[in-house]
Amino acid sequence: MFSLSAFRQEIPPRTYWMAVAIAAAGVALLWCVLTYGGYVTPIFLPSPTDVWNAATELCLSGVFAADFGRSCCRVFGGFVAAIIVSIPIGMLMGNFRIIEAAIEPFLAFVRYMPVPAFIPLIILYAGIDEFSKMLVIFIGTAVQMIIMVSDVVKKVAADFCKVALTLGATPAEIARKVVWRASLPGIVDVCRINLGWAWTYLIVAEVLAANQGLGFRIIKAQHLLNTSIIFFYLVVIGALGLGCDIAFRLSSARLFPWTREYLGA
Amino acid sequence: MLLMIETLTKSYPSRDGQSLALAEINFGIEEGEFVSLVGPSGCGKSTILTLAAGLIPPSTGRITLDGSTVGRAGADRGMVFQQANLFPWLTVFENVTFGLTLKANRVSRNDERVLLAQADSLLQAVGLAVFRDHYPRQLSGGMRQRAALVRALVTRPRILLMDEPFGALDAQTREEMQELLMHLCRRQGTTVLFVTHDVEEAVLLSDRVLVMQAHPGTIIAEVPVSLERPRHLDMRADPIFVELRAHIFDLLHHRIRKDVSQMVVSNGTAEAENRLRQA
Repeated sequence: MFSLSAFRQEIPPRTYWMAVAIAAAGVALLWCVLTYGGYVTPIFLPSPTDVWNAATELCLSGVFAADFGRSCCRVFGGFVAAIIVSIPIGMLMGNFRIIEAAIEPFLAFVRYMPVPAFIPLIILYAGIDEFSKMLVIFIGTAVQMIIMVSDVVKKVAADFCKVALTLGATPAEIARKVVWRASLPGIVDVCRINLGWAWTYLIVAEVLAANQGLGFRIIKAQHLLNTSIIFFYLVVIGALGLGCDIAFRLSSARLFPWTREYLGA
Repeated sequence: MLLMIETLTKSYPSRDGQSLALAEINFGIEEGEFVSLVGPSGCGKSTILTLAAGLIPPSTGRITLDGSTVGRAGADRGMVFQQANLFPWLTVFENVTFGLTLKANRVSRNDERVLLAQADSLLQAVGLAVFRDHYPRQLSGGMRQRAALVRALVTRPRILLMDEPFGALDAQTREEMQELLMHLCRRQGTTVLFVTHDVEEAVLLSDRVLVMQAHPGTIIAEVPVSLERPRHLDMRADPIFVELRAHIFDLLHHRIRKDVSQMVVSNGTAEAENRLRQA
């Protein structure tokens, strides 16, 4: 069928998904054995039944829907703002060395400052309402996205621009019809990667100051030693991230069919 | 003269001042003429093309097209590169008509219809009509280069600049492309300035071959090709062809031998031997 010695070889899709299923089943089995077998106290590791009960209760009471909706709004607001700001700036940085010189060193400096460290400042400046949470997400993702978008733009083949020049294109036309089109798939990919980070920063922001939201509920559950809720929300956050990622990948394949197995030149 | 190149030089800043890539280039091309530049790598033949295209400015000298100095790159000088560089996000037809979507080439609705129809007829002529709505990734290397050729012709340039356009293709595809180019030039009456390091290709396609040498790049000889037109690949066995090819080889090799003998005196033998091996 297959062998582990097949170093860096492709495997059939069926084999691939079988490995996925076996690994998942293994983790689930381990969880069941540890909890139902009574090897671990429920406070540290709740059983699947505990998590299920907590989930149904939160869903039926409407608490989950409220947390979920609130968190989605925050991510959406902060992340959309980051997209709107970072794409034009990244395009300018990638196309004009002078703008790169003015912005890049500063961003390279800021990007290594951990976002949670900004939160006290943000609370000081913007308070603790919705806007401040979006601001955390915005700062966390926009800085990275500007740099990543500019990298994507810079990687557009200089030969493409030369071709357009010899056909009589103006710089504005090259920017719009060549550089923009060529870097779109890369920019969508940058968005995909940073949406994952946006969720991370959301939880960080909610853990610190909020009265609703996925991160807030996790902290509250911790205070009440209600580990089942923590587990349920962790699974939700993981599924949400994975779902967004898959949605991005699928729409990217749909929108840019030409990127598949393009052989260059 | 359609294209005139006068006392053209190009130098680049280097560690020890300026290094001269091209020294005193003078030549002209008549309307409808096919002229090739051949020479060893590093002789600056591609640089001449890039200068004529307006992608880089000359250090001194002048390039004129129809009597007026050429400025930046424009659609009046079409260019075909060694790589097809088709835009992967556009279909073949969208690629070849890309030039028509630019402000510089804007024409009336009627003329546009004519040009679009002409693009289709050119695609037909190069055998790509069936692949009109395919993406570049679905095409072979030769097909991509044919599309690149059509793209350069659609905006009706006064002169076509070709920079080793068939250099990246396999031998058989290259011969097909040579025949195709001869056919297209005859059909369109295109003026071509062609850069290649393949002497056979230069003789087969050209009305005149300009032989270059390197360090610094200069034109050392002009060889008119008296073979009749239309040309075809079989002419490579023609005595005139064989003689012209040998003559150009001699011109190229003589220079190299002379370079080597000079080097033996100045730089010792190691570099000279290296040079001989390359030749």
